[in-house]
Amino acid sequence: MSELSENKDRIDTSDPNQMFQEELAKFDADPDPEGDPNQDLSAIDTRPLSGGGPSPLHAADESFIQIAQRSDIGSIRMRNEDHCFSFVAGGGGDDPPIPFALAIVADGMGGHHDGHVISRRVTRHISQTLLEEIFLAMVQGQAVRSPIQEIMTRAVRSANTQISTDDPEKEGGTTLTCALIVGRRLYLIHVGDSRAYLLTNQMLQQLTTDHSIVKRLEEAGHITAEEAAVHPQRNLLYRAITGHDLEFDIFTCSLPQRGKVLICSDGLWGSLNEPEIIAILDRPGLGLQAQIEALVDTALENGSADNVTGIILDFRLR
Amino acid sequence: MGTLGVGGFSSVYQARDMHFASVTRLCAIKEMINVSTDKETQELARRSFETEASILATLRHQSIPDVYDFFSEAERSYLVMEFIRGKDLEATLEDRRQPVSQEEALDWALQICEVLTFLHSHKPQPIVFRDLKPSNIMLDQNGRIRLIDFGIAKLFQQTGVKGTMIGTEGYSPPEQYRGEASPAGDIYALGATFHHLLTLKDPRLQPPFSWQERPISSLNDTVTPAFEALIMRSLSYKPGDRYQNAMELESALKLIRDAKAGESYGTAPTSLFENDPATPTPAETPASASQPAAAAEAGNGATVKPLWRFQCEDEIRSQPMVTEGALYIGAYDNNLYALNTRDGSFRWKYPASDGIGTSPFVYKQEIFFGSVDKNLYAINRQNGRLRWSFPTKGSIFSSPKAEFDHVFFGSDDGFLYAVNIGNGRMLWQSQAHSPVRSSPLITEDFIYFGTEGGYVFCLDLQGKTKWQFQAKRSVTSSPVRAEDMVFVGSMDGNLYALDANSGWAIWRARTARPIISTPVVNEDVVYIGSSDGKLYAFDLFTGRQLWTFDTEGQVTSSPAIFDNAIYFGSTDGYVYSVDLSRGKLRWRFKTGSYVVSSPTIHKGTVYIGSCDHYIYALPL
Repeated sequence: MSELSENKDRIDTSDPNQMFQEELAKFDADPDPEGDPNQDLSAIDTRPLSGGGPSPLHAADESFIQIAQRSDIGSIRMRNEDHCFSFVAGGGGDDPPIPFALAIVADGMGGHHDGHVISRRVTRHISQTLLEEIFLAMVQGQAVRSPIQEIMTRAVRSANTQISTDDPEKEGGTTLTCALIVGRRLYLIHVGDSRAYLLTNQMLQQLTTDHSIVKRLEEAGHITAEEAAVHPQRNLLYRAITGHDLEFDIFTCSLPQRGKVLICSDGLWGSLNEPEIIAILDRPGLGLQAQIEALVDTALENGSADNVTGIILDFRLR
Repeated sequence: MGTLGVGGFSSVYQARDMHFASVTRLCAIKEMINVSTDKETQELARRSFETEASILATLRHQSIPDVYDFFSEAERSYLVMEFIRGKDLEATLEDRRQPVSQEEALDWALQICEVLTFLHSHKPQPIVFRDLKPSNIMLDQNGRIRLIDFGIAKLFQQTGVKGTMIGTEGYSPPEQYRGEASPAGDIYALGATFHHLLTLKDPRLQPPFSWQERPISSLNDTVTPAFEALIMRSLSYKPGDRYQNAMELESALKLIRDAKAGESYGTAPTSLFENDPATPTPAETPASASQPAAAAEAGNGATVKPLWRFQCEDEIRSQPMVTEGALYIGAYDNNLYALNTRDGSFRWKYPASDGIGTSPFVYKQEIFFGSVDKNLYAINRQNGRLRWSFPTKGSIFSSPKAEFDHVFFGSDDGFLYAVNIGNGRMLWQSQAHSPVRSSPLITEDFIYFGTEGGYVFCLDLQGKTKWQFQAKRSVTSSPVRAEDMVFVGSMDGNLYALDANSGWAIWRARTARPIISTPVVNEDVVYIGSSDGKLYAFDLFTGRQLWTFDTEGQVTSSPAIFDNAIYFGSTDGYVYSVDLSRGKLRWRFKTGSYVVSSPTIHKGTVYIGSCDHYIYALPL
């Protein structure tokens, strides 16, 4: 018997490997089990279970998230094609065990088509799905059955399917920037040229990449930022939710203890420079709603020709 | 008679020409919708259409369908053309689900060049095809290329208004966004088309002008550097940097076609082993260092020889620990060995009462390891003498980790233990309800580990549960933390990314069979082996699969990274070195049996054990 086959025999009989071989056989018999029948828990549970002692996650009394939003038709457009949604877990007894907030900005497109309808439908579908599958499960103490990014991905894909149409004259689309905070973690789904920023310690960081042709030309070094800012086709997107092929960015990061997340349509960021945004978000004595009002008003004063929409999430997390 | 295709604002119908009532002459009718609401723009688009259609109707070429007629009605314009039987290249690619070979691509590209040459040399003005892409290139019943859809429809598209959504079609040159159409634009579109055909990466789903980020040769081994360079030149951002017309491109294509077949690139190495490694030379002493006979085959055809190897008396399944010129490794012959890393010579060994499946861990003056004999041992690493041992009620397969003057490890008795390194006394034990074979990850605040019951636990340093996560099957893999996420594999075949603070699952990435391997993170990529035989590279933040590398066995070994390469073993008996960014083989080294041991890399050397009883020292 060769040494190789001797070893093979030994592998089959040694204890840890025997167990592994049994696991392999079990896997092959049922590669995607609903749950281990020997376990008391019948479902996959991605819900953090309460532990044997005080958990920092339950110290939610020290954590808070506040939200302010505004969407303005602006001075030129006949219709507001932007749509936004925000939700934060309040301070009641039904609160989930960890901080939770959801904010969505969608900028509909399609000119004479139904851009405003599409942005609203996409926003509603995604917010409803995420609240049902994540938030409600959390507060009802049920298991969340999939990883959060899988739920978000499914929500966006099914929203895309919902707006799909075979009628070329009904074609339109929407951008989507969706921010979800669960615990100390921010999840983002992004497509198009709406933006998400993170403000922390007077530093403003853009978390999303614009899916615009001109931005891409700028990134590739073919045109300068100055040229991009005045480029006649700066609003032309190469990605959006249109009911057809869908590609989107998905991103997650751990949040600092304190800071603000701003998500907004191009009507806001296109008419405000970053120092102006920082100055408003950090202005002493200005309440959160007053901050979003000031951001939108300043964009309009600066000549924004588009609908202007923004949501601020102000968070303090432990 | 039927619809052949529907686009954003145009459709193609199959029809029968009733001018020939006694015979069946089929034709294709392209219907274009004038979407502009402005009357003047509408009229301009309609007149442009009629001008271009008139030109097309005069063209005669075997690869261009004849135009029989054209007309406009209200907001719609129609082009009546010859009906071509066959299948377009987009549908061909969808059917095949694998990249086109260079040979086939060259044949098609030359045929397309021939048509483009005809169009680009049209007098008085060159005709620009303007919409070259796989769905507009037909393979007819005789396998000949036919270009079926001129970009005439683009006359009816609006541009410059957000919301039209034409944005990019993926194959269009950048100057299109300035409204320019030139022969060099067709060259770009041809380059884009063949980039897609050769890589299977649809440019409509990628950021515009990002070709450089998807090198063809990394996705298709049949493509020569010369052909790749030709396509990349065709895809130059500036029109002036491309081939200037189809004639110039055709000449370059012919040079590549006529090049000797020996130029083929990137094929699997042909060199074989210098010796048969399946039967390692028996050493005279049961445990000894020797000059090895086995050699490695390298991706470039050269061979890699071990610096030394050392024979134990039974299988080596764990990972060696290397520090200060010494290598420590446990074997199933019950011994923990200490060797000199310079030449593999023997320093000392310590015998446990049963096999050692754990990887030893050095902390201060001691080395710790667990054994199947249920004990955790603390050994003086200078002289190999026992300092203390700690008994548990189960075999120990969980490799210990030491931090904060305590050693942490799991046992098959279902507990995770924290034991004081000074006196071997237990600080605490944490109930895990099932065997713990995963090695704990110790961070500043928390301890993470998996259990055979399928849980991942996060404990605080006092051993209290902060959170727990349940996979579908056992978690033997050991957790790794990066970017406030914990990564761990499971016997359910998934690699999980969990929020380190809450235990919420962020994403999971599926492999085809159970995972035992422990992941390794480098920059924004997480790598892990699976018993489906592959090593996987996943995006750290999304779990998107970046590449896989196939072996002929199971990859239960945990990979290690150094510089631009990743090292791991497989039960096919090989130790592999694979390029980190592209997942291509650098070299592989054949041992005499399964390699379930995990490599340790130290000062330019890879140390790894094998079930052939040897520990090997291999150059990087």
